[in-house]
Amino acid sequence: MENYAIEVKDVSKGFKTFELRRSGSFFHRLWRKRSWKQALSNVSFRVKEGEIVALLGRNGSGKSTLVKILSGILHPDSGSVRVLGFEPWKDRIKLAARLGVVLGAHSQLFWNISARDSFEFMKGVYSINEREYSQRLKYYLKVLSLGEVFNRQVRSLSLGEQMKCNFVASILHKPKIVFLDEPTIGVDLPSKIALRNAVLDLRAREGTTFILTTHIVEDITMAERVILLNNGSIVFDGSRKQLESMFGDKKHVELRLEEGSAVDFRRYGKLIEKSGDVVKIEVNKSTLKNQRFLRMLNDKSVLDYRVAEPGLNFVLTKFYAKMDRKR
Amino acid sequence: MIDLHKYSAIMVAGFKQELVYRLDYFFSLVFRILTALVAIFVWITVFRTTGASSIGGLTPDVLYAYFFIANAISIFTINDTVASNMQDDIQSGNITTSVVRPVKYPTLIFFNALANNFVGLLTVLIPFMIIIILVAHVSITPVTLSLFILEIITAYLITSALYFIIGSLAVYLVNIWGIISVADSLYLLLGGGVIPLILFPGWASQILLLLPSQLSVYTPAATLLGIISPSAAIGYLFAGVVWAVVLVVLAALWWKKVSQNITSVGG
Amino acid sequence: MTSNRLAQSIRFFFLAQRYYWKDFLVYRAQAVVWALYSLINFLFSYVAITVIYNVSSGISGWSYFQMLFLVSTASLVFGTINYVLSPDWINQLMRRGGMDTRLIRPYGRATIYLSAEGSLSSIVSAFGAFVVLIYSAFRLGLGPAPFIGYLLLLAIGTVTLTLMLLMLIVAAYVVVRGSSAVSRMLSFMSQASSYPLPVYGIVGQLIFTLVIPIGVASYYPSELVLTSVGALTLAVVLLVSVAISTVSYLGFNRLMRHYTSGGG
Repeated sequence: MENYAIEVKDVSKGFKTFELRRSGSFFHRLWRKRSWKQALSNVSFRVKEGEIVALLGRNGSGKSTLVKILSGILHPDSGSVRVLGFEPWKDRIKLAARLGVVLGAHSQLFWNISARDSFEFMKGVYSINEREYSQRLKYYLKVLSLGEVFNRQVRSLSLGEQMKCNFVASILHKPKIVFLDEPTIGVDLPSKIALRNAVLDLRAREGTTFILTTHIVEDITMAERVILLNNGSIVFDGSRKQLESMFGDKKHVELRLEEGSAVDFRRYGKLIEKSGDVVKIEVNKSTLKNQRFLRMLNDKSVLDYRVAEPGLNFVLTKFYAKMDRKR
Repeated sequence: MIDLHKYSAIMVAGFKQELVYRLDYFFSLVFRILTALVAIFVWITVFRTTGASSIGGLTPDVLYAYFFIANAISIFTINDTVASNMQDDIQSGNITTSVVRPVKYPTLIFFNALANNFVGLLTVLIPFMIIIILVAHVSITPVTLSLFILEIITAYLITSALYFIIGSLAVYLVNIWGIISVADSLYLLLGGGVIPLILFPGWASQILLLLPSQLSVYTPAATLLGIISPSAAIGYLFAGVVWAVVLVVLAALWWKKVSQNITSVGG
Repeated sequence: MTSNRLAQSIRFFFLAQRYYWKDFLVYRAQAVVWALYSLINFLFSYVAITVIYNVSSGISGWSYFQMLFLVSTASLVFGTINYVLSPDWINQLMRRGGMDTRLIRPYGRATIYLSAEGSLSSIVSAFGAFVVLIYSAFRLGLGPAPFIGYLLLLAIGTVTLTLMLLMLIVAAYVVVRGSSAVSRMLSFMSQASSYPLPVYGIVGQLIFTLVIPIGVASYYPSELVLTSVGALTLAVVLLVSVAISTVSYLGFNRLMRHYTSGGG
C-alpha cells in the first residue's frame, strides 16, 4: 500500500504584480500597472514517503511558490493539495508540527545571539522534550561538524555555517517531511556536501521525505527524482538518470589541439566552448563511429581528446531552449 | 548640464515610486490632517472653557489656522522619507550597490526623497494652504510670502540632513523604525506642531526657538499668520540657515565615516 | 480557538519576546539609544496637557490630574499596542519574505503576527504611563473598587484595537503593498484617545465609539473610574468591541489568502 507524503492535483496560483508602465503618455506612465502573473498552472504530482525529490527550474518558474503552498504559507487558487494527509492551508498548524522548512533566503536564526540560543528557541516553539532535544542536537552537530561554531554569534558565521545551523533548527522537532528552498545559495562546497550527507542520513534513519528546490545543478545529486518546472508547469518528472540521458544522442568531445592545427573539427559537430588550446564540440552519437571523424581524432595535431556525456547543466540549457522555442 | 539631467532622472523615478503607492500615501496624508483636527477640537474646547478671547496672545481663529497650516507644512518639512528609504536600502543590501554608482549616495537619496515630497507639496500642501488662507482671511504680503518660502526650503534642508544621520544609524542598529517614529513626534513637538512655541513657558520657548526644529513648523506658520513680525522672522531664518550649514556638513562628515563600514556589514 | 490553543499561543508569545529581548540587548550601545528614545516617547503625551493647563483652565469638567489619568490610560493602551504591532516592520517582513519563516510554525496566523517584534521601546512608554497612572490616581484619591471594571475595559479595548489594526495592516499590504497610512492612523488614534471624546462633538464621539473604537481603550474606562458610565453606553461599547474584534479576526484570516511574499 503506497503512502503518499505529498499529493498535488491541478494546482494553480497567480499573483497580481505592481509594475510601472513603460509606454504611453507621461501621465499614463505615472500610474502603476497591475498585471497578473500565473506562477503555477495545473501542477500535479505525487511524492511517496521517504523520497528525495529535486524541484528544478529557472528563477520565476514557480518552485518557491509551490513549496510555500505545500507549507500552507500561500493559498492556492485552485486544485487540491495534501501533505501527510493534511490540507496545508486549512490544517497548517497540525502540519507545521510535522514539517521542517529551510528557506535559503531567510534565516530562522536570531542574528545577534548564538545558534545554540536559536536551537533552544526552537525547542520551545515545538515543545521538544529535553532528552530528545539534546540527543538530536548532539547527533546533528556532529554530522554537520558544527562543533564549537554553534556557540558563536550567528552574524559572525559564514554562509555555509549559517545554512547548516538553519538546517539543524528545522529538523530538531523530528519532522516527517522537509522542504529545502534554495538552501545552498552562496554556500561553499564542503558545506553543500555536508548538507547532502545529512539529508541522506536523515532519510536513511528516519524515512524523512525531502523536497529540494534549486536552480543549481550540483545540488541535485542528492535526489533520485527530478521535477522540472518551467513557467509554472511541470515539463519533466522522472528519475535523475532519465534527465541526464535526455539528450543522450549527443556526446561532448574535447580536443586539445597543437598550435596552428588545421583540423576542421567544425564539420563534425557544433562548437560549444573554446579556451586556449582546448575546444569542445557537440557531436551526434553516431559520429563516433564515423571513419573520417576517427581519423581526425588520430591526426598528429590532436594532442589529446576526451569523450563525455553532456552533463546536466547542458541538458537543462537545451531543455529550456526547446521550451522557449515552443512559446 | 549633465548633472541636471541625472538629478531630474532621479527625481522622476522618485515621483513614479510615490504615485505607485498613491493610495497608501493619500491615506497617510488624510490621517496627518486629521491629527491637526484633533488639536483644533481640543483648543476649541479650551477656549470655551476659559472664556477668554485670546490665549498667549493668540485668538481662536489664528490658533485654528495655525494648526492647519502647521500640519500641512510639516508634511513637507518633517518628512522621514530620507531615513526610511535608507533603512530600506541598508536592510535589503541595496546600499552596497548604490554606494558604488556614479551618483553619490547622499545626493541620490536626497533627490529621490525630494521627488517623493514634491508630490505631497503639489497635491496637498499648496491647495490646502490656499484654502486656509482664503477661509481664515489671512492677509499675505510679498514679504511674508517670500520669507515663508525661504523658511520652508531651509527647514527642508535641515530635516533632510538630520534624517540622513538618523537613517545611517540603520547600519549599526538594523531596525530603526522606532527611532524614526520618535524622531518624527519629537521634531513635531519641538517644532511647534503640537503646541505653538509661543505658548510654552518663557524659558522653554526661548530654548525651543534656538533649535533647528522651530523653522520646520512654527516659524513659517507664524510668519504667514503674522504672529511674528517679518524682522523677527528674518532673525529665525538666519539662525535656521546656520543650522542648515552645520547639519549638512555634519551629515557629510558622518557619512564619510559610515560608508566605510557599509561593506563590512552583512553576509 | 480552544482554551488549549489560546494557552499555547500565549506561551509562544512570551517565548518569542524572551528571545527578541535577548537578541536585542546584546549590543549595549543600541540598548542605550533605545532607552533614551523610549524615555522621550514616554514624556511626549504629557507635555501638551501640561502646557494647556499652564496657559488656560483646560478642558471643562476635567481637572489637570483627571486629564493626566486619561492621557496615561491612552499611553498605556497604545504603548502596549505599539509594542505588539509595528505596521512598518510587519509590512517589511511580509514584503521581504521574512514572514514566511514564521508562518511555518505550529501556531495560528494571528498569533504569529502578534508575536513578531513590534516597537520594543514602547514597553517603556507603557510602563511609564502606568507609573503616572498610579500617581494621578493617588492624587485624585481614587479607591481600588472601580479599577476592576477599568482594567477589564482596558483589556477589551486593547484587544479590539490590536485585532483591528492587525487586519488593517494586512489589508493595506494586499491592496497597496504599503504601510504608511496604517502607521499614521495608529499615531492619529493614539493622539485622539488622549482627550475626552466629548471634545470632538456628538459626531466625533459616535465615530470614536462605534467605528474607530478608541473610546473603549481610554475614555470609557477612565470615565468609569472618575465619574460613571451609563449601563446602556457600557453595553453598546462592549457589543461594538466584540463585533469589531470578531470581524477583524475573521477578516485577517480571509485576507491572508491573498498574502504573497517577495519573490516567486
